[in-house]
Amino acid sequence: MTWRERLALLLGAASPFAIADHSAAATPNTLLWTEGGDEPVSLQPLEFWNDPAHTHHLLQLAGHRSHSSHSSHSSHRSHVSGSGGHGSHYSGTPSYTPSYTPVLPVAPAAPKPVSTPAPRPAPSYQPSSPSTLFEASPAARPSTPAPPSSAAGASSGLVTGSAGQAPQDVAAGVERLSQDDISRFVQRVQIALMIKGYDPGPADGVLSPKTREALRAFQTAGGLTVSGNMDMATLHALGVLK
Amino acid sequence: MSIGLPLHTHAAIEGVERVELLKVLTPEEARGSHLGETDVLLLEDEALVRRGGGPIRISSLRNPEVVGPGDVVRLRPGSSLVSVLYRRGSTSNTLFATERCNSLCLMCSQPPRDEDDSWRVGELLRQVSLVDADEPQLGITGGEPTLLGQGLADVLTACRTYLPSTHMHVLTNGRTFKDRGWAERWGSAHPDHVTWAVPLYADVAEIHDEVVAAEGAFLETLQGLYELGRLGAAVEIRVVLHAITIPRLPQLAAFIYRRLPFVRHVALMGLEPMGFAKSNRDRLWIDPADYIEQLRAAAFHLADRGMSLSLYNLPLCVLPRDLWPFAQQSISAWKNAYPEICDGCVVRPHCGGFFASAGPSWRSRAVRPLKLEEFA
Repeated sequence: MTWRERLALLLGAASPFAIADHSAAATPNTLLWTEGGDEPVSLQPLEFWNDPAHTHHLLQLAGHRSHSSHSSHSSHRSHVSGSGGHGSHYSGTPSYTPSYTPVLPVAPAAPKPVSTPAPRPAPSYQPSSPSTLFEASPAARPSTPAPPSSAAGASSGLVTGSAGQAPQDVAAGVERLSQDDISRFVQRVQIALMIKGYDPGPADGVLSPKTREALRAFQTAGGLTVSGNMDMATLHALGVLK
Repeated sequence: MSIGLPLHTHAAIEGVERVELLKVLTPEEARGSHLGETDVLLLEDEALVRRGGGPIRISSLRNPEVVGPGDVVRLRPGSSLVSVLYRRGSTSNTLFATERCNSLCLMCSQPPRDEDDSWRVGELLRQVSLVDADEPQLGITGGEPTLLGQGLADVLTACRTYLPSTHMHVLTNGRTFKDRGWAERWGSAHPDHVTWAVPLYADVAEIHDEVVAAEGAFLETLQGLYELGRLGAAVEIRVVLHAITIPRLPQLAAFIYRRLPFVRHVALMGLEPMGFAKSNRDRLWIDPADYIEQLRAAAFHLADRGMSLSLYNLPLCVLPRDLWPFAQQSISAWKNAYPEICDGCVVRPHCGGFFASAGPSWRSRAVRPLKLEEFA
């Protein structure tokens, strides 16, 4: 890892520039670092800051950054995540009540994700399709009517790929995961993100927009596919599958 | 106390007439291997068997888990010991170069012995030829590996031949690199795939020389570092944190940034309570909880300036959260342990834990299990 990449990794979630929406985070090359200075420079248009609540959030971040001698501290950032979090800026309710029961296969699925290192003990969570564990892309969402708002959409992303798949996967042996199981797993991911210096908000087991932002920042810094999803490559990189 | 898998076990061994280094393979993998049948121990149901070159049979392994497919083991005549020299899938495989050393560090975990062990070179060359070709990283340690002289260059050349994509990580005190001829010989043996990891304990000679118990070592190491820098070699600086190195740690960080800008990585390392460290405990021990201020100053001095930094051998619970992203799970699996106090800690899967050799007297008062509520 070069120092530039390292720096990007460290600054990732601390930088207000990491607070980007889907489209911004999907193009990691728009973040550049100046040669001499400590501050990152973004070539990204700043429209996505227009939400006043968002701006307030960024000012908070900036305040924390200005009085800190260094740039990447989760302890500083954790103030920002404080109470409520900024899930409240989104129109939907962050509590998730999916209208179907998420399922997760217990038997190892046939196609292994390409990115998975070979000599590992079988992870306790196996994807039923390559690289999708908790898939939130609209394509993988089941036909069940989904709540319209973005936050609720994010929450209902707590779905395995198999939920939208053919019944033979279910016949291969799947175990119904309780809401608690999923919540605990998301909590593990949130704690792993905090340890690596990102700010997913409180470890409350809710795959909140803030947690997705942290996932995107982590994926960007690590050269992974930037999706905001808990895909296999990301989970391995976070060390939550060992 | 939970502890990693050991590297040795005993067994009933038949047919060993000289020291043998052998590759353990399943029959299926052996069929596709380039290795000959004199090199391979086949992993069968009840035993490990060599068919060629005088049959060898190993049975009744006391701990069968110690030996697995892909491993390289050493057998000695008249001994029941099976030693694993290379473990497939482990991230801490090393080549042990020599027991000799030209320093005598106060906290040395592997106290040197002044015996001619140049016979190791032959064994190392053999070992290199048996390691998996897709092994990502291999360490070379000692003693001081450069005391092998041309032997070290030969071992590195063998790595270049047999393991062209494996990254080599060599622990050396750097003193012998002050000789440009040797620096060039070692530096050119495998130029693109070696990191030279060199300890530096202070920005001033007095402290560094005291820690390594060798007069003039500081100057020699610095000269050696500049020779490595001159060659464009990849250099890592290692600092062991203890009562003698802590007071000037921030100054050392500034020194590294200013004087050794070619350094690629700096590792600040908690003390391993082994070897000399145990007998010098009075001079060395400082509770990590009492050096957080110096550690933080040094760490951010380097990290803020873009230097790649890691913290080794320090459990997460003793570190402030802003240092967590630098903490690595650095302790080799076979000497890594978690005391009972860690039960139920939510960051344990990400924590480096402790050296198995670290009794309660070597444990920081800050050690505690972290609770989920602290992250909510």
